[in-house]
Amino acid sequence: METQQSIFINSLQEPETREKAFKRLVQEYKERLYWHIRKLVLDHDDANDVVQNTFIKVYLNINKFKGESSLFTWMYRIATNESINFIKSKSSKMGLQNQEWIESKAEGLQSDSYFDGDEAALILQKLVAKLPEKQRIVFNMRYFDGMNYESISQILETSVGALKASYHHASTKIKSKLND
Amino acid sequence: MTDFKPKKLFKIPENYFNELEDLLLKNTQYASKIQGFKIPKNYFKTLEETVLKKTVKSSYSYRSKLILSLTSIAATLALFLMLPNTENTETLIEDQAFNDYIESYYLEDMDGYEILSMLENNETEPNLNNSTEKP
Repeated sequence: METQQSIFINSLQEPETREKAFKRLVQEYKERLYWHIRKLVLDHDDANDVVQNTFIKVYLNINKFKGESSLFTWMYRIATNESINFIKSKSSKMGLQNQEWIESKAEGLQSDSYFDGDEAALILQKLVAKLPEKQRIVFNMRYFDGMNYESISQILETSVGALKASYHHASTKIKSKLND
Repeated sequence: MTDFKPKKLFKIPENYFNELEDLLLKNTQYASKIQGFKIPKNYFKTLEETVLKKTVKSSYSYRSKLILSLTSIAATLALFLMLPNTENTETLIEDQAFNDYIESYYLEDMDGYEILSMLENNETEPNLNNSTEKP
């Protein structure tokens, strides 16, 4: 028996129903993907570019989706990879390491017109930006999104044990910096 | 009263609780906006429109690129097959036209000296030599 997801995926893969189904997909996932990306790239304009590229990739590659994971997981994986590639590209253009570029973005949040967080939120973002890339991604997904390790494991294709270790290291670093 | 079964009095749609769970999870799970981050007004509406425009455009451009590539290949093949014939035909037509022109117009108004003066020496010599040769 076909599940709701497989019916929906079929309609995304069939040329006749594709555009209508894709419209539904965008309506369904736009906010979730946007916020996931925004947490990784920090800046609204950058997040806007990445989320658009993510949906274009989803649209162009939907026929390659074999249903081995959930559609949600597959899209999150694309969004995460797009964000990482975006950061790599931007930082290399400026002759910076990925982490240095993200730290500079976090430093700039104070003057960002699309950021109105209080001092605690700003400090937290700056500390998260100092984490190594993998730890930063895991921390965002676990702490801010409240994702379970199994979902993160499927998205990042990393073992649950490794993710738990990454999260533990990340949260320990942040706690110790906050206590300083 | 012992036979009272509320389930029979109140019905719910089939799979209601599964769908309710999905609905509740859909609206809360992983959709978190974090403190301090803002977006422009009506951003998500604009985003949806932009994405749909771009995806339709990208699929059209992909299709048109494919059609263009196939057309180019077909045109190249057609040209490749037709080129030798065209060249021969064109050469023949040009030669014929030139000969017609020489015969019909150009030579009519020229006498033998004028024709000889237009020829190179080495073109005339063999003929002259031939003409002086004794049989």
